[in-house]
Amino acid sequence: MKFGIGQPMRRHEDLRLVTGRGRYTDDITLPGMAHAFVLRAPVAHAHIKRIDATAARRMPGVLFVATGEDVRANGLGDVPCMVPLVNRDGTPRRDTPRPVLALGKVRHVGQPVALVVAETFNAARDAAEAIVIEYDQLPAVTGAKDAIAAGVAQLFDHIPGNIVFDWDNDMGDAKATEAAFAKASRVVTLELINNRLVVNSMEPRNAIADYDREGGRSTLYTATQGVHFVRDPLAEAVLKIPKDRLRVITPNVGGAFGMKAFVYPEHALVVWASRKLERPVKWQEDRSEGFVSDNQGRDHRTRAELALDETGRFRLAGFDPCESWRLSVAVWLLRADTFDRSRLRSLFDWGDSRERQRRLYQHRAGLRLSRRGTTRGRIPARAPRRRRGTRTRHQPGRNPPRQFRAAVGDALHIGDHALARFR
Amino acid sequence: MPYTSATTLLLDSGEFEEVMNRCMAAAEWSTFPQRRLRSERNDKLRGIGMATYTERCGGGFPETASIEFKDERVELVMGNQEYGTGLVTSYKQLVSDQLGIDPDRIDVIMGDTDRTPAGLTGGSRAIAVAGVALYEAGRAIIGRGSRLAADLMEVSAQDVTFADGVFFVPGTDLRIDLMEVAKAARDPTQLSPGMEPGLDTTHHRVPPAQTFPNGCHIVEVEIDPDTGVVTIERYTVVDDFGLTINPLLLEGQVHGGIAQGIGQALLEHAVYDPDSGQLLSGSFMDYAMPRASDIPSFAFSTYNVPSTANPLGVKGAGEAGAVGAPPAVINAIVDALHDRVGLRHIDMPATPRRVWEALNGIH
Repeated sequence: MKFGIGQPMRRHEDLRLVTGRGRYTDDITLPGMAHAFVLRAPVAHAHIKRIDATAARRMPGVLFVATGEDVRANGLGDVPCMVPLVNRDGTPRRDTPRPVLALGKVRHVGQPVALVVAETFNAARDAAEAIVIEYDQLPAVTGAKDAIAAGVAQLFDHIPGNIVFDWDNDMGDAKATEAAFAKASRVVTLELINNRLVVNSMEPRNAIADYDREGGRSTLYTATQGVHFVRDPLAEAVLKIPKDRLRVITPNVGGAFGMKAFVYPEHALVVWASRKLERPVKWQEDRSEGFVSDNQGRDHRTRAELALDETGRFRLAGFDPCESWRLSVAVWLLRADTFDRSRLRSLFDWGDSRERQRRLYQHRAGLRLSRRGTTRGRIPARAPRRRRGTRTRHQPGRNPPRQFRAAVGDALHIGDHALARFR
Repeated sequence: MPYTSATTLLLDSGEFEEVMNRCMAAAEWSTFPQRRLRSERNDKLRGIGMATYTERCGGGFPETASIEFKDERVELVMGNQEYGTGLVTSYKQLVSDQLGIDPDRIDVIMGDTDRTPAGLTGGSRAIAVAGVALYEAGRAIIGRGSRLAADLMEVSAQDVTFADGVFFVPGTDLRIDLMEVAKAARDPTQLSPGMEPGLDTTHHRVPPAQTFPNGCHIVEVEIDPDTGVVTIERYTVVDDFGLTINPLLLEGQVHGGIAQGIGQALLEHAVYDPDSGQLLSGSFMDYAMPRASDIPSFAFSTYNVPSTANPLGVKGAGEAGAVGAPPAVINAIVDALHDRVGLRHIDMPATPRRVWEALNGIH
């Protein structure tokens, strides 16, 4: 069989991978490599009253212990937000610091609070247990609907109502849409919850940093979806070194699904520690850490309204206020790439659409565009209407499938308020 | 087609009605009532659900691909990243087909900021953008290689044809292998004056338009009213992915995506305690990943209409399964429960408890 386009060739890479000759980040062992353990917040929302790492620093095999204060003292920056966004009222989105290690306050279970580097992984983990942290617990808010309610816990002093941004696509004619709804023979409404998911790639996240003292250059081995996409912001915004001083290498990767596309605090921690220690430093999360620290997926709450004319057509109708509450979200959402004027898409022929999105901070793990696409519910229906002037598609007397009738009658599974990434 | 949506998207291609008709035929939509009766005789509820989806892929930021000749081997230097989807095989296939190079002589280089250009895998765009960049680099190599080959064979470039890795002059025995041309191109003494040495080529692809993969999923579920357990009895999908490089890997992508979509629809949920903010489903004991026993066999087929947004006609397939599956599964469940209890909506994940509660009027 020709090895050409259109042929069902088996994967060339598999023989190596399934016979254990693959090289994933966790397979890398560098001479003199030390091991990192990241101590994480056990509570969702608390003031850090006191951190005492004195005992941990004296534990056998411990090379380096750091807290948020040390990160600040060393001038490391926060993990940045990649995409700017302007609110409906013209103000910029309210960005928040996503520190490499928590400073002053923790805001979700699993947030990195301290770093321990030791000769072995077990020594690092044991020492982390010796770090004494006094938390002054605060009320937590974890539901999107709750986060926007009055009187609930506020995550950041400078962000009233926990609202990250309040955006609309502002492309529909508001008056025409109002009018369409006013004269609609039927308006259907649906509230949808796009449930929050943990990505759970087979290979958990990881990072190994090496440091070449002579050249002043670091090398980071880590599973990514594109090395430059991690290297550039990591070097420039977080580590504050010229990007040619950091080389990022991604060996074999065991699944990513959008979750491994971005910079994480642990990337910065291992590079920083290895430059301090002038030794390679390795961090490999386990599954439980992944559950609380990997960026999670989905989690939108959508309210959709659809106005229909007497024939059940959408085209005289509108989509308003189509409050697509992307109420999702979480602490430190770094991208807002779902926002452009033409996000709503489907095969339906509707006259107009308006959309509004809000994102709320909550005490949950970061949420990003993780997990392979976004769930886009659809009205189960026949194909799109043809444009005027072409053969009419609807055949009188031919019943649409039963599901279509049920759908038009009421429950519309519209959920296209999520759209994916990287476009 | 082309069609501009109310939201200003320009859909370049697609035969949506045909995709739906094919899916309904493959799913035996018209004979569903008989299967429902059969289920009812076994005291089971049966429902059928459909979801159509249209994705938007293949746009966004650029991707860069280089084809470099090294003695007896060829290196494809890519900006984006393989992370389990089979891109390495697909890229080799593309170049092997286009340039007639044995895939065993092709190496794919990725994931090193010192060596590889900027790029990103995600959003079902790897083949539609980076793959197209690779294809364009190959086209440039054929063009430039023809001129070099003409010089080497001392003929006019217009007389040179390229096929299966060989430049030749039809009707003569003049022929020269691409790898020989690449080798000669590295030797300035063999080049005509003014000819730059080397055949290595880089293409930077800035996508001028987006692609619209689309498809139809039809699901049949059976529900045990005593327990609320949902079983997926049939799963049919017809997709339009445009040109396909490797149908085996493509179908694998759809299978994996549907498995994730079924996971979301029926099983998976990151549940946080509303008071403490603790992740309650924080391990595989509590967070229900789909297992092989939760996933049916799929009746998968394609009805591919090439995209006009890129010269390959590729649309993108990575996310499609995960996009179409949740609404199709939920629609099937709603259909099964509607006649019994008038249900019109159920939230994901439709766990046995949620389904049982819906059947018993508990909210």
